[in-house]
Amino acid sequence: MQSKAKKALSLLLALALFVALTACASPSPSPATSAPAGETAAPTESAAAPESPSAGETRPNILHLALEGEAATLDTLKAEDTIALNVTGSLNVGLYIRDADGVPRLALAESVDKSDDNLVFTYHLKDAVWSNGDPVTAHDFVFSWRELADPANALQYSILLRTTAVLNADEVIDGELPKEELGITAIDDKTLEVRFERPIPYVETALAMGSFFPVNEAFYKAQGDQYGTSPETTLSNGAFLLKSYQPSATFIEMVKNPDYVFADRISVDGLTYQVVKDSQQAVLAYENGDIDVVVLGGEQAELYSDAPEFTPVLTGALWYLSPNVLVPGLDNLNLRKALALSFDKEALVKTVLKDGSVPADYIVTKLTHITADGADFRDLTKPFLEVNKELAKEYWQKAPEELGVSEVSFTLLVEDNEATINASQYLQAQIQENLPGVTITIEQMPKKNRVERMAAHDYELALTRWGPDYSDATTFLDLFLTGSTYNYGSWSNAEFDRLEKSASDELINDIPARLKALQDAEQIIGEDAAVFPVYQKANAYLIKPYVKGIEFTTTGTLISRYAVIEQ
Amino acid sequence: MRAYILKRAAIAVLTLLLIVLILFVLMTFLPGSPFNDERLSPEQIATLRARYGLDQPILVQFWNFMKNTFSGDFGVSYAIQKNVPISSFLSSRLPVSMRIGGQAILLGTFLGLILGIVAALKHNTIWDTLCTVLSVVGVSIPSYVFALGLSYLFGFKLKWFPILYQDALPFQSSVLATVALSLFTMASIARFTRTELLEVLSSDYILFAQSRGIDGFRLIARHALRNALIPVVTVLAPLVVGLMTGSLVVERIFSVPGVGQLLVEGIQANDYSVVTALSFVYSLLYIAIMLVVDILYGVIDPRIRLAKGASQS
Repeated sequence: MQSKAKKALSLLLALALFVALTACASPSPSPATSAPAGETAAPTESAAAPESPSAGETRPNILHLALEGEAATLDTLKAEDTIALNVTGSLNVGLYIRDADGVPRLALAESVDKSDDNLVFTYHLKDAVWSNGDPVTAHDFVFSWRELADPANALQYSILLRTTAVLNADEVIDGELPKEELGITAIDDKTLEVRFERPIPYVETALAMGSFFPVNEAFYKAQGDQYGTSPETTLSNGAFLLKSYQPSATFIEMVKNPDYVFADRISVDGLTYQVVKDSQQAVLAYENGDIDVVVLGGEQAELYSDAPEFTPVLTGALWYLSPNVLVPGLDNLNLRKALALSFDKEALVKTVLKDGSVPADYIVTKLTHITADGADFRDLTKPFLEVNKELAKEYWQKAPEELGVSEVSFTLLVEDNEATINASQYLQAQIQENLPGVTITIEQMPKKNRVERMAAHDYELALTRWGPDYSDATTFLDLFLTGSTYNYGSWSNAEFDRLEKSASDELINDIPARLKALQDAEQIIGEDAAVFPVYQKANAYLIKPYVKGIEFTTTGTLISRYAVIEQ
Repeated sequence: MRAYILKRAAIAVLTLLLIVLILFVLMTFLPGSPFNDERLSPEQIATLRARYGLDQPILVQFWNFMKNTFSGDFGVSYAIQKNVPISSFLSSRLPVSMRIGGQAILLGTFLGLILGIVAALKHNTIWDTLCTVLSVVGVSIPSYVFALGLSYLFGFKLKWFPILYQDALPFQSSVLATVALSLFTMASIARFTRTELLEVLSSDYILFAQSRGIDGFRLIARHALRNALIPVVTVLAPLVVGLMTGSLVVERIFSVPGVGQLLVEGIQANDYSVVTALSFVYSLLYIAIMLVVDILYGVIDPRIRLAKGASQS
C-alpha cells in the first residue's frame, strides 16, 4: 500500500519536473512570441534601462552592428558579397562616395576635369593617407584597377570595368592586351587620368564601388596571401581603422580614422560588427543591448511592425520567376502569360514575407534609376504583368490547343532558405489553384547549385533574384539581351536587343531618347512575359532610439558612417 | 599488450587511408563548382580552375591531394575565406570548438556519472525516478531549444552570462554553450551508468565482496563502477569527437567562432580545401579517440586484452 503511494508520488513528481523543464525551454526560442503585446511594443525601454544615462554613466560612443555571416575577405579587390563589401566599405573609400540620396560625391578626389566628349576624366587627388602613413597617390588607383583587370586574377568584379567602358577593359580582361594598356594613368602622384571608350551616364556612381578603391601596391605585395587577415596586415584609408580582426572573425572592432578625408563628419569613436547567424538570437541580442541595429526575418517583422523603432527599407533587388523558353510548353507565349498573371503578389508580400517588400509589376526596380532631375525611372514608366486571375485563365485556355495537351507540369528550382521556400510554396499553390491542369514541383538546393543549373540552362522554372550593380535601368535590362551570360531563360527578341543596345550606343548622350528606348525595351519584356516579376525585396530593421543618423543607400545598403549615439 | 596496441594502431592508419580515399572520390562527385558566380566569365572560371589545379587529370589531382593532405598542407580556401591559407584560419577556430567541447564533455560526464550512480544506488526511489526523468528529458530536448532557453533565461533575463560569444571573455561567454552541449552527454552517460551499475550490483561477485566486508565507497568505486564503466566509455567516445569538433546548432546560436558550421558551409560553397581539411581533422580525431578507447578497455578490463591477445596468436 505504502509503496503504491510512493510510486504514485514519484510519478507525479516526475511529471511536474518534466512540465517545469519543458515550460522553461519551449517559450524561450521566440521571446517575442511569448511576451505579451505590451512588452513587444516597448522592447527598448527594458533593454535600454540598465545603460540609460540617468544612472550617471555615459553610453560608449560606439556603434554596434550585426552581420549575418563572416566577411569572406577584407581585400577590396576580392570583396564580392554584401557582407564583405559592407565591412570593406567601412574601412576604405575611393574616388567617389555615395550617400543616402544616391548622388555620387567626390571623396579622395578634390576635383575632376571632364573632357567635352566625356571620354577623359582627370582627377586631382586630396592629401589623403593610408593607415601606415603612406600618402594615397594616383599610382594606388592605377595598381588596383590593373589588378582588377588582370586576367590572371580572374576577379568577378572585373566586369565593372567593362560596364563602365574603361578604355581597353574588354581586351585586357580577355588577355588580348597587357594590363598596362588599361585606360588609367598616373600623370603624377596627385593627378589621375581615366579614359573611357564611350560615355556612360552612371559612371560616377559605379566608380564609388569597392572594386575601384585604391590599393597600396608595396604593402599589398609585401603581405601576400596574409593581406587582410589581421589589423597589422590590413591597410585602410576610410572612415574607420581595423582594431581587432582574424580571418573569418565573428567579432570585428574598428576605431574612427582621424585622418579620414571626411573625419569631421564622423561622430562615433568606433564601430563593432558582431556576426549573428540565428535571427531569433539577433533580436534577443538587440533587446539585450548588444547590437544597435538588427534586420528582422518575416515572422519577426510582423511581431515588431508596430514598434516605434521598426524601419522597413526597400532594397533594389528584384525577385522573379524565370522560365526557360527552351523547355517545351514554356516557349508558348499564352502559357507564359497565364503563369505570369496567375499569382497574387500583394498577398505574398503581406501574408508570407511581411518585411515591407512590395509587389513588382516591373523589371527595373524602384530607386534603381534616378534621372538627372531626380525622377525615378519607375514612376515614369508604366507597370505590366499585374495579377489578373481571370485573364490568366483565358490565356491558359488558349494554351492547350496550341500545345496539344491539357495538363502541364514544371519543376521550380528554388534555393534552400526559409523565406524563399515559403514564397515558392505560395507561388506553387496560387499557380496550381488558378490554372487547373498546371502542376508545379518545387526542387530545393543551395543557391550555388541553383545558379549553376540555371547557367547551364538545365531548368524549367526558377525563383531567382537580381540586384542592381549600378544606378541605371540597363543593370536589369542587359540581363535579357540575346546571348547575355545571365540570360538563363534564353529568351530573345530582336526589337528588344535593338532598343537596349541603342541605349548604350547611339543614344548615350541623348537623355530623353535614351529613357524612351529603355522604357520601350522594358515593356517588351512584359508583353512577351520573358520573366514573371514577383516582388521587390525590403529589409525590416529595428534601430535603437538612441542611435540616429543611420542611412540607407537607394538600393538598401546600410550606411553606418554618419551614425550618432545620443547620450 | 604491446601486440594489441600495435594491431589497433595499424588498423587506425589503414582506416585513415581509406577515409582519405573515399573523401577524394566523394569530392570529385560533389555537384557544382566553387566558381559558379554569375559575374565570372568562362575564361575567368578556367583561369581559377587552373590556379587551384582543378583542371589537372584526375590521377594527378589524386596524387596532389594525397601528398598535400598527409603533409598537412590543405591549401587555400576558395570561397569562405578568399585565398586565405586554411591553416591560418582554422588555427584560430578549431581551438575554440575543442575547448568548449572539452568543457561540455567534462561537465556532462561528471553530472551524468553522479546522476547514474545516485539512480542505481537509490534504485526504485524517488531519486531514481528524478534522475531517469532528467536523462529522458536530456536526450529528447533538441539542443537548439535548450540553447535558446538558456540564453533567454541566463543571458537576457538574469544577465549572468553574455548571449553571444566574446573573445574578450572566453570563459564566461562559453558557459551557456558548454551547458547546452553537455545536456545530451549528461543524459546518455546517466542512463548507461544506471543500467550497467544496476546489473553489476546484482552480480555474484559484488555479493561476495560485500560478504568479505567491503562496502561503501570502496565497493562502488573499485568493484562496481570499474565494471560498469566499459559500456559507458563506449558511448562516450563518439560523443567526445562530436563535441570537440563543434556543434552546428549551438555554435550558430551563441555566435561561437568555432568550426561547427564550417563543414556544412564548405560543402555548400564547394570549398574543397575547407571540406578536406575538416574531414581529415575529424577522421583523425575520431580514429585517435577510438584507439585510445580500445586501449582503455584493456586498462579497465584485463579480460579484453587477454581475450583479444589470445585470439590473435
